[in-house]
Amino acid sequence: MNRHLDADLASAYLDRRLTLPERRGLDLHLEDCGDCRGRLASLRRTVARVASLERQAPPADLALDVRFRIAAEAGRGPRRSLRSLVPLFSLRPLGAAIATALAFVGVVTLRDLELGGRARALALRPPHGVVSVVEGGPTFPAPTTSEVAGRTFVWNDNIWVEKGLEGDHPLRKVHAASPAGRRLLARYHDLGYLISDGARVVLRDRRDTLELWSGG
Amino acid sequence: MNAASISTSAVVRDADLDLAERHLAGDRTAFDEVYSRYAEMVYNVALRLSGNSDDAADLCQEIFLRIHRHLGGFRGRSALKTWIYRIALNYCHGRFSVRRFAFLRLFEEGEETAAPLPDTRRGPEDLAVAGDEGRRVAGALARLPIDFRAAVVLRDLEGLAYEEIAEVLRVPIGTVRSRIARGRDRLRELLESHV
Repeated sequence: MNRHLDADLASAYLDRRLTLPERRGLDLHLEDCGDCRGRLASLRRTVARVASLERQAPPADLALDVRFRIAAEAGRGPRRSLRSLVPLFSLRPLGAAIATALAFVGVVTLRDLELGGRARALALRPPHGVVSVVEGGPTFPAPTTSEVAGRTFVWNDNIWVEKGLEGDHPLRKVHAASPAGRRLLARYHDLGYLISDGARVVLRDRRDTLELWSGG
Repeated sequence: MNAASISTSAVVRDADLDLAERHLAGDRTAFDEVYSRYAEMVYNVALRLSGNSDDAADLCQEIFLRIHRHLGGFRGRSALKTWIYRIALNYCHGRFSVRRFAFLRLFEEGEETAAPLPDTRRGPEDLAVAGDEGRRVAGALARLPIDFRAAVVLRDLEGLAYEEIAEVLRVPIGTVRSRIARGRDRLRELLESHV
């Protein structure tokens, strides 16, 4: 072969994608052509440098974030997301805080609903200060309580009601994405755990009883 | 392909289909298994295509959301790994085409902010040098056009064969060969010019 190396040929040579006659011809050419030898050596170095890029471990909270997104989607029907609540690219710090919070309740909800308590491959650890207690056997819905933001909430027909407020009528409803809702979540960000799957939360804020929700 | 490798791939395919069927039947541990197996792979592809760890994490979320949505529809026409690569590449490609956020970084050096997998064979000095070198190479990689970058990432980082890359990208082998060659050549120019 009396042809100089081009990008295709050099790359194919390195990857052993040439036929035997092509390879032999190129080897003969390389013996006589310093430019092509240099070019091939340079390309070989480049490939080695790329291949030596270190693999990175995924962030520790990625599993939770994924769980959050799945739980959020499951709670809102197919192909809908909580982007208005957790903008992934624009409000990243707030989004990440809420996402982590919401993800956990998604996990808790999924786990609590699961019959038989199968071992989970994902090692998802609950954040500190949040305890979910399921009483009774696994085949019947049972009262569930959560300790969130220093308060006890009781699960009651798709609503988490702060203990002591049972029977109270909320003064107003506050959407999680509204300015008031964001203020609430900023103040008690663990509340996000409770609303990730579309559930509502009735709680006392200062003197008022409010209902926090995240539905679309 | 010899009988042993055919038999191995058939077993893998069966295991992949089993995961999909379990997922379809509502077994949540099936998706967990998929996540455990492929999170590192998907994250690294997203990292090298996006050029930074924040975008990679966001891309990963979206990719796994799509895997979760569609896993029940996986029919085993390719290996699950190939199917996941395809979802990842399709999503990243679409994202870059629409939002073009990666191109904002075309002229910046790549980041290496996520924790590398531990390498206990090297000392601190080696690791620092490797960090600089990694940033330089990742920066150059991020400056490639997305089609070339995808081909180079799949070949030189993920170690896929040309045939597998063709299956993932759904392009002819000749196109794979051409994209790898041009991508590498452009990288060579970028890296050599920084020496």
